Amino acid sequence: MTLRRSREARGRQRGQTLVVFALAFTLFLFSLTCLVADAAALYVWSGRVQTAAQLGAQSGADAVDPRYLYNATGACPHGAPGVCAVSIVDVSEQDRSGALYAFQRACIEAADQSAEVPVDAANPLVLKSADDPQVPDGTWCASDGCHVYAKISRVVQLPIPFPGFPETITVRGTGYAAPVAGTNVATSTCTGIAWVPAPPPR
Amino acid sequence: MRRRRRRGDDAQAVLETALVIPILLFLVCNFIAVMVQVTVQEQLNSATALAAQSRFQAPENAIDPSGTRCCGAPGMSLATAGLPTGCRYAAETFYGTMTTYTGLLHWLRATLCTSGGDSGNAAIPPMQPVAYAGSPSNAEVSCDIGSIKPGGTVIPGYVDRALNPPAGLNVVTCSASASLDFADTPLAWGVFWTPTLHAQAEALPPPFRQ
Repeated sequence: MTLRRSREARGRQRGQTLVVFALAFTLFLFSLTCLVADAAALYVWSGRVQTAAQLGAQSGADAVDPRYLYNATGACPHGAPGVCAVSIVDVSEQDRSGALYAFQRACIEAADQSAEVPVDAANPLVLKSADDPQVPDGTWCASDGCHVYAKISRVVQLPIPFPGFPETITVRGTGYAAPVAGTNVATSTCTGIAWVPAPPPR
Repeated sequence: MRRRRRRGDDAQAVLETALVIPILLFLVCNFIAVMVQVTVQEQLNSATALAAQSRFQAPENAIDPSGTRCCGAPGMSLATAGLPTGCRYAAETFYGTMTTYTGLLHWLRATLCTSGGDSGNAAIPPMQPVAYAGSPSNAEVSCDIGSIKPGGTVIPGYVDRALNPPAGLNVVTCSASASLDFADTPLAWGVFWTPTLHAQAEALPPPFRQ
């Protein structure tokens, strides 16, 4: 009688262990899948955002007026008489629409498009341009007088968010590039004097 | 009796292992292959984007002098004499950026420098670019680039009609295609697909360098 009871108890215990093991193993597998999928997505996005920052900085550096770097003079804007120093600020009507300098517009435009920063997270196909507010994600471009810096923040939606943890993570990238003069022989060297009177607003 | 049962258990374990190991290896091979494919695709995207952008770092209206060669696979460098220097810059940037897993790629070779493509719109049909005279046709990257000839003749770049509608904007485009082949690697044991990767990038002309 006692032997029979003991055998039944052992059988019940074995069943219980099986259930606990099945639950724990399922949770473990699920966590592992989340970890692998999310890590892979973040790995891909971090590379993409870093490249976008590099491209944005290069694009901004290419948009610097090389004549300005050489302290050149030219016709004054708006048809004013005399000769004026060539300005870095936007000169054409097309570029003037907005508070950004030409190099910033080029930098932000290239970086936002390359990092696929959406205007609205619900519609990832419509991407931001230089005129869109660059928050909560977007591009910030500035210059120290020798280089153009681009910083990108891109909110990445995790493919399989783990319950209880955030569904999105902000990935950041930074790039810098020096402008190339565009002539065969450089006539000046970078002095570190800022091209812009004050850092642009963030 | 007990010994016979133990031998049976052992045989079962061996059989199970023999069944599970190939399946696991197959999965691992395919996971690695997907990882390599994603890495190469990202690298291809970066290389084409940087190539298109680097066109604007070339001296204005510069043409490569005779005898100029650049980049390319070992033993088959590209002759760029008479072509826009920006085109060579683009090629150098592309070849310099594509550095990893290149042994697995079979390139779909194309003309290095082209001009005059048009994206088209409802009113204007799209147009394929044409090759520059003397442009190498065995390049791994192809760029549609505008330029100005020494006589002053303007050669148009690629017109993207989605920009500045309805006229469009003259931009630089670069594209590259390659198939990723695992046949010469141990992964070939479990990877039976050969994906074709493609990347195309566009660079807008900056206001002061066109």
